Amino acid sequence: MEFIDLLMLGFSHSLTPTNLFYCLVGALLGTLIGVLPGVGPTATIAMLLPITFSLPPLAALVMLAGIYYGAQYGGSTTAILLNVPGEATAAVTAIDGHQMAKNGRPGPALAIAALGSFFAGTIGTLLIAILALPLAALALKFGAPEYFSLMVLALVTSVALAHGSLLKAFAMIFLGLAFGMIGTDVYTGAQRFTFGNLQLADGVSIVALAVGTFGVSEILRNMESRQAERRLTAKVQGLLPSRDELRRSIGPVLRGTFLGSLLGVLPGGGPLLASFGSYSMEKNISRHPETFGKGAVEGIAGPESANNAGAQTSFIPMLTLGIPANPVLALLLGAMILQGIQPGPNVAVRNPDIFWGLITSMWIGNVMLVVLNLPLIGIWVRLLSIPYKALFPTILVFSSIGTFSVTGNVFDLYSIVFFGLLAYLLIKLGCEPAPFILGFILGPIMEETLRRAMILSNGDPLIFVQRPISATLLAFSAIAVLFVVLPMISNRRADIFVED
Amino acid sequence: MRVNISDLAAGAIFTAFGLYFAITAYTGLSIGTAFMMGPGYFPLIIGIGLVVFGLVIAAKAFGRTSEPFTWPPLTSVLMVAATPVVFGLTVRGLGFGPATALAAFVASLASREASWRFRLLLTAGLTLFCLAIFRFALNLPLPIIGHWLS
Repeated sequence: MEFIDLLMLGFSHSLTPTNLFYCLVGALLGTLIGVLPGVGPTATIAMLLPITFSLPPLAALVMLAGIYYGAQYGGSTTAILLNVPGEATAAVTAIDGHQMAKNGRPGPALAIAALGSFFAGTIGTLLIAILALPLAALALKFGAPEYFSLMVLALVTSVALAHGSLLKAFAMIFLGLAFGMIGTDVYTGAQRFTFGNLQLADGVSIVALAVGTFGVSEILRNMESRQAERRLTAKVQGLLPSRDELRRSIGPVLRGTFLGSLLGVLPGGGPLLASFGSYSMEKNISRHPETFGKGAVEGIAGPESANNAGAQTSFIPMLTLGIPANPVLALLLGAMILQGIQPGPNVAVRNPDIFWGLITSMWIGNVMLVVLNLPLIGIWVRLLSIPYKALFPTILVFSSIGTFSVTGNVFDLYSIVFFGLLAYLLIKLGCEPAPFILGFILGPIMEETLRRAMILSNGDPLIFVQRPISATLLAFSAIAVLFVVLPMISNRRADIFVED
Repeated sequence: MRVNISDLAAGAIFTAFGLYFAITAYTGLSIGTAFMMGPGYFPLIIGIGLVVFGLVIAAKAFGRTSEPFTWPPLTSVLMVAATPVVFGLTVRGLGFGPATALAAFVASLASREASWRFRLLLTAGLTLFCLAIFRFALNLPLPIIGHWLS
């Protein structure tokens, strides 16, 4: 069977000592930053992106992917034990997880979170493996108009599923598209928006943009208030959940995995929306909704499965279509480009070793996480005592050196400051940075496909609605916008993000 | 009259960027036709789009109140922003080692809570850590001591 052969090919690459090592490093680093509040996976991957430049392509991607899903595991640990969600995705886990810990069952809460995550991660990885080839084959039939409409759909859904002002999110996409155009025009060689500066001829450095937008802005945000001291409230003794707890977890884990897998594929979806969505779903269908918030195991099992499933399946559009579902995937796409791999449906055909190696490594990483995490909980909790005043200088200096090391271009260091201050200001003004980086990454491809489509149609924009696939994709985009604009639905959208 | 400062400021920023991109594209780049798009065509559309979004966002600011902002201390912001700049200005001249130490020290100044002892220890530790990773583990081809010092 071809499918099994491909998986075997993948394992033959992901099980080499080098790649196993980087998988472990990524998973451990991911857990570490997942545990530490104020340090997110996007900033970490931005910071480490330059370092991976010197690694072989597969090792680089395996490590960066490990950081992403590792953070989903780590975030729940401190949410449960200390009521400090290390990641935004673990915020809902803290509600019932911490109550369970207070009720004297921290061990089972951690075990359920880890096992649910592992189950969801396995299903998520399997889904990628099954869906990747058919989707890539479909995408290979796409012409320029279809590709353009697909990117419109991706950007629109990423905005529709994000929270906050729709207008501001659209404006951020356009700002990202605009910054993506800086540099040399590929068709004519014209210099665009470079101020005659040769160092901008290759465009804005994605590493500098990411480090500034996600690293520096995050540091500034954390400096607004003094960091509170954290105290461990419960000692972890037994890990084994009771039979009743296990039985009550099965349904939420299955539903969470399903919901997470679905939301993960959608641009702008991903783990955050998945965990919030799963929590409100479990609360709505529960026969005892009053137990939620008081230590209901369903409130841990569902969201924790959902966020890990979402983290895995968000790789599907990135690997098969070259479309990042969220900023982390945008950076992974950037890592592929840095490594000289052209993202898109061709990756599976041209680089099957990397494609299948990465997919299988994600399952291996999930195994490592579930095996390593529970015994190491003591260490993770102790790491929380690292003060932020030591952490942020490390992040700043490390990413400065890293960014400089990619091109040896001092200008990129000044770009970090520019994007850091701009992003921080915009965040303060209620504009989320995620659509900005998606626009930046997709901008050049969008422009190119638009130009090719127009040549194809002799300059007639109607080509986008005359070709059936393209028209369908645009219709979906319109529906997505309508969904958000209609007040009744948008009110409900806001509800998902309200914690009680 | 009540005005939401965040929306007004965000709208102004988007409009300003939009104007810059649209005007530069229109005056400095060839626009071409829809059939044969020049390098200025797409930027012009994006620029105009940004202006439109910016104006609408700003227009919606009127009649709504603002929420108060909390800002980090100005010195913290300045020191955070200065860290990559200091490293950039000195890495060629002073070399990798001293530039890293200087950047680490500037970064440590951003924290109000750190004592001087803590800052010096952090500078020393961070410099050694970065030297170990970038110079020795990753073999970054950069002289540790630059030509200003030798």
